[in-house]
Amino acid sequence: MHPDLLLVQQSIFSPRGEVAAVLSRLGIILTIVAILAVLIVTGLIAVAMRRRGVLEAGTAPLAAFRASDHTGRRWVMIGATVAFVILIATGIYSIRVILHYSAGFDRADLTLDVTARQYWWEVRYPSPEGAEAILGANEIHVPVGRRIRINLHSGDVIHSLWIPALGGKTDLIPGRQLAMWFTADTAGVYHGQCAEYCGISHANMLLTVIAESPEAWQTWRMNQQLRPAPDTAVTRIFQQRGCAACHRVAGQMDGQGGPDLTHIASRASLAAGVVPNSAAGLRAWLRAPQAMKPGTRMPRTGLSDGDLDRLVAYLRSLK
Amino acid sequence: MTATSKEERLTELWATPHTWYDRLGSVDHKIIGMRYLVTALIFLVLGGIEALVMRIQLSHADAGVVSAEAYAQLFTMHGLTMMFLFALPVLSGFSNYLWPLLLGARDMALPRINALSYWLFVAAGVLLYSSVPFGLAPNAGWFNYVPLASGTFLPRSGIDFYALSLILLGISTTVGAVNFVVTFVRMRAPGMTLDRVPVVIWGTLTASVAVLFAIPALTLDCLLLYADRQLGTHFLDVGLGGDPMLWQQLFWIFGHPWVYIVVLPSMGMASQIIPTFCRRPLVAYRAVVGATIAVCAIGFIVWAHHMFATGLPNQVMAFFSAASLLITIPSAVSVFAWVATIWLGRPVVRTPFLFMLGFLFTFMIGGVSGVMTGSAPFDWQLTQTYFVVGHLHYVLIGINLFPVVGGLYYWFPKFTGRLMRERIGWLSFWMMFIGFNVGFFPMHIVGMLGMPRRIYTYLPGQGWDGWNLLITVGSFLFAVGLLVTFAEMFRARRHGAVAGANPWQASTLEWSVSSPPPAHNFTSIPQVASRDPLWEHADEPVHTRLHEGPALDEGHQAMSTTARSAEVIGAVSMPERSRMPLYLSVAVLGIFEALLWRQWLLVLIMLIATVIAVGAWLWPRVGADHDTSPLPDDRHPIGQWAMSLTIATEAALFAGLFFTWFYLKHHSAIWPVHTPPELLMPGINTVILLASSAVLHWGHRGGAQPRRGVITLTMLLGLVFLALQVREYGRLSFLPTTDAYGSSFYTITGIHGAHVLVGLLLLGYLVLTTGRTPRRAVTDRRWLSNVSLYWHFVDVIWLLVFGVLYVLPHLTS
Repeated sequence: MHPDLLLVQQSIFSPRGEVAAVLSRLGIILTIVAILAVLIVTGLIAVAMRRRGVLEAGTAPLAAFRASDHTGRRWVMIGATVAFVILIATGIYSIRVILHYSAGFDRADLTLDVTARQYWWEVRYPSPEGAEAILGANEIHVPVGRRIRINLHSGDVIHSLWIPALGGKTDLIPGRQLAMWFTADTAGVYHGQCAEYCGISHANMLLTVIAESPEAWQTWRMNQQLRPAPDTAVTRIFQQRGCAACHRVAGQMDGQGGPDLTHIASRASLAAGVVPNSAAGLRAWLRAPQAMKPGTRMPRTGLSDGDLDRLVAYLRSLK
Repeated sequence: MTATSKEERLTELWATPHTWYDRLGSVDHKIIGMRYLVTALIFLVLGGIEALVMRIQLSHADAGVVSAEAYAQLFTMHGLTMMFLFALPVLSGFSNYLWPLLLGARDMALPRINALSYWLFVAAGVLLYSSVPFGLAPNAGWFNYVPLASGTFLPRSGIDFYALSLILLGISTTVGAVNFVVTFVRMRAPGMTLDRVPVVIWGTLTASVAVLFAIPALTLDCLLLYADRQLGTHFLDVGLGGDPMLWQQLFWIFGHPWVYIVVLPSMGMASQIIPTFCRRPLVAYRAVVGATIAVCAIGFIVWAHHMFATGLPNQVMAFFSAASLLITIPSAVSVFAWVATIWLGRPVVRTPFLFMLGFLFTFMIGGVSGVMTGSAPFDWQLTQTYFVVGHLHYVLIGINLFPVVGGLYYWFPKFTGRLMRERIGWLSFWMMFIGFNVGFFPMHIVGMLGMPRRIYTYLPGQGWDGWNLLITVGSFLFAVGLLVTFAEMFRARRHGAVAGANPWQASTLEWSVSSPPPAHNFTSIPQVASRDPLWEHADEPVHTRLHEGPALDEGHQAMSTTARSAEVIGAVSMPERSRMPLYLSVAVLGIFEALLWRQWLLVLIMLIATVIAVGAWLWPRVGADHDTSPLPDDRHPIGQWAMSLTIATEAALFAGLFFTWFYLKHHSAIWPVHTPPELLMPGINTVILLASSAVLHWGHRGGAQPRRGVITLTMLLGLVFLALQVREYGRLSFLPTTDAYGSSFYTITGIHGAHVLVGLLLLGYLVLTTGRTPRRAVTDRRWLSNVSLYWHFVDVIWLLVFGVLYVLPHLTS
């Protein structure tokens, strides 16, 4: 993946999929109506200010205001009626969008599972023909044009999954079975991040969706099923440093709770979007994870320079 | 008696002496109101500083001004400070100061409760801010979602400060609200029928009623959270039958009405101030009052619109979306009433009016962005982004702060007798208005560009940098504009131009008395004939009489009138100064500090101190509060109103508990795992408790004086009930710490038990004080009637508890 792709905007008005397009259309209409309403009422107030008075004692008899009260009440009636019409239209439109979206769950082409943890995303792809599960982190690979359903889980607190260019957000709540769906119409990298405050590194919990042609996606998936060859020196580091407690490398260690490292080098970033996935980035991360991402569960490794070189070289090879 | 000697006598009766020791015991609504205002403005400054530090951090990408942890504490404290320690207290300040003056009354109905409300508010603020020196400020946001806020993920005590200070503040707000409602129904000047009540009163009244039903949800939520964190219960713990969504449900059942609670009174201020400067009465008064009530009522059925991204079922989402949009209608009624008032009036632009125009503009933007977020599907994009941050600041700054600052310019001359300068007012307004819109409007845009709220940092290159810098610059301009007003207030307090009684030629009663008003407010009680008494023209058929009414200078007295038509009931004796509200607040603060540091023995000591303080407060004493003038014959005296309203809010608390029970029952995978408790003993216990009510009722048939024997028997039955209940606990197969079912069972029965205990204390008080001089027999009877009301309420609640917790499981299993 080219790093420049990281710079795609997270705007809700540049939709790249069916769901986002529907929401964007609704949003544009609501925004226009909103702006018009403010302009009209502001204009009315401006005109209303044209006849100035003075502060002085002694006013007209209160009864004299009764006639104009009648006009005033008509104003209120008209205002309330216009508001009523607008809100009925908004309500009907909104409910239609809700129904449209909820009907889409039944026709998913591909179902993934995402588990959010402080502060990263675990992505589980369905494994073909009883093969091992494919586990990714912080990147969701999807085929273009297919309807993707994501079952949402939380490993700890409440998070919210949001890719603005592909659709709205849905929370990941412990103990609840929630799901969302979207399609990506064009190939590309779409950015999002956790949208529900989940702890001090909430700001450092980024996520990308990588949409590719179905063929490219198949190739990617095949690659993800490959197992890397072990390196005995690195295996020793994995065991001694406790990496195996949380991390998995297919065929070598089977930790849970931390990101799967089997194909770590194939990802664009480390630590959910906060560290570039380069040798230097990896080295910096392994030296002082807390400095780059406060509150992360990843501990300081305290590796010697030699071990660090060996580990970085090996991890960089896990394409 | 001449007018001057009347004045002198009344001043002697009402004025608070100028020693600080006497001032601590002041119950003068003007002094309390001013304290509320000043304290709230101090909190506004604190919350503002927190906001500006955040804005420096966000002014550019990847900034390192504060740490992630510091940022979390800052946004949490900013939200808590502004929502709880500024937005409502500042309105309480205005209302406390102005209500009796607007209503033509001598004081609030319950002056000591008024003092208590203030001191408890200070205590809650002190409790919350005492976390800061320890570096333990709450750090999970002002809505504090669990499980993040649970003991598992944030075990340090910051969240306990949150839970306990909000419970404490809830007590303050509730007693204050009771006071406003009782004042409304009993203290309006004769002739001030519902149709003649100044419109600003309706805002605070509606908000006060809402407080009674909204606060219990928050109190309960914080109680469950504290219990989960410190006592080992499992209400919010998904592992043992609890549900983290219960927190969100209860929080927003409280939270959304709260938004209306902090804007309706300030909208009322706008409805009062706009007509003054348009030189004509408000258009469509009745519609505006109706809209105020409607907004508040609908406000109770929109809470789930804060949860559109939590996977609600379609029907639920459609309902809450529709209800949220429905609020547009009453809001439009108010907006068009204001516009029509300007249109049909002759506007005079002075600083207060300028702020109202600013309010109208920001209200519009906050309103339409509210419609956008009210549309559930579009909210899937907007929720939890900076768009929402922009929206809520347009609502809270636009509808709360702008009218408040305008209100300060408007009523400052009444408070101090001095005017603030127009030129400075204009300068301040334009700095605030431009700064606000430059600072907060772009928040909508960055939100739409995908910036989530509550992030302490962001990467460059997402199109957010420039907007954020602009937001920061605007925020500082806004803050400086506000400081200009503060500086002018300090200057004008001593050196401003003398205002006179009615500098704005306004129409309501507060402008009929000198500025600042005399301690007793009105030398003679006004007789009101219209909604705009000071605008009555010579041609009017009837006139408000400002100077011919009774002076009530026989004692420390105020006039009480009927709720609807404001007909005279008679003079009531008002309580004297007392430092007991202060001492009681200190004792209650002690309970909460002890709970915070888990010093259970100290909790017990402070509880006892609290009971003693209440006893000392209520003990019959020689003095003007028990003067010998005959009490008016009121079928529903002030005390009964206060008790009924307290019961209403208590009922809402129990409704919240039953909601908790059924919500967990419905959502829990393991409910209940235990066999339901047997029915025999609890059934007998139910009969015992009902018998106690029967004894109390039949023992006093025919409005007799309290009978010590009857009351003692009632107490004995209550004690037996409590003892048997404790014995039952010993026989249950589960504990509060077993699972969510156990937690709910013990908590509901336990809270009920605590109410029985309070009832016993009240009955004990009756036994001890009945017939004790200098208290009069009629006061004894009223005490009996109030305590009986409470006791019967507690019994009725038990029937519900018994039905839901004991009988229902047997019927359904």
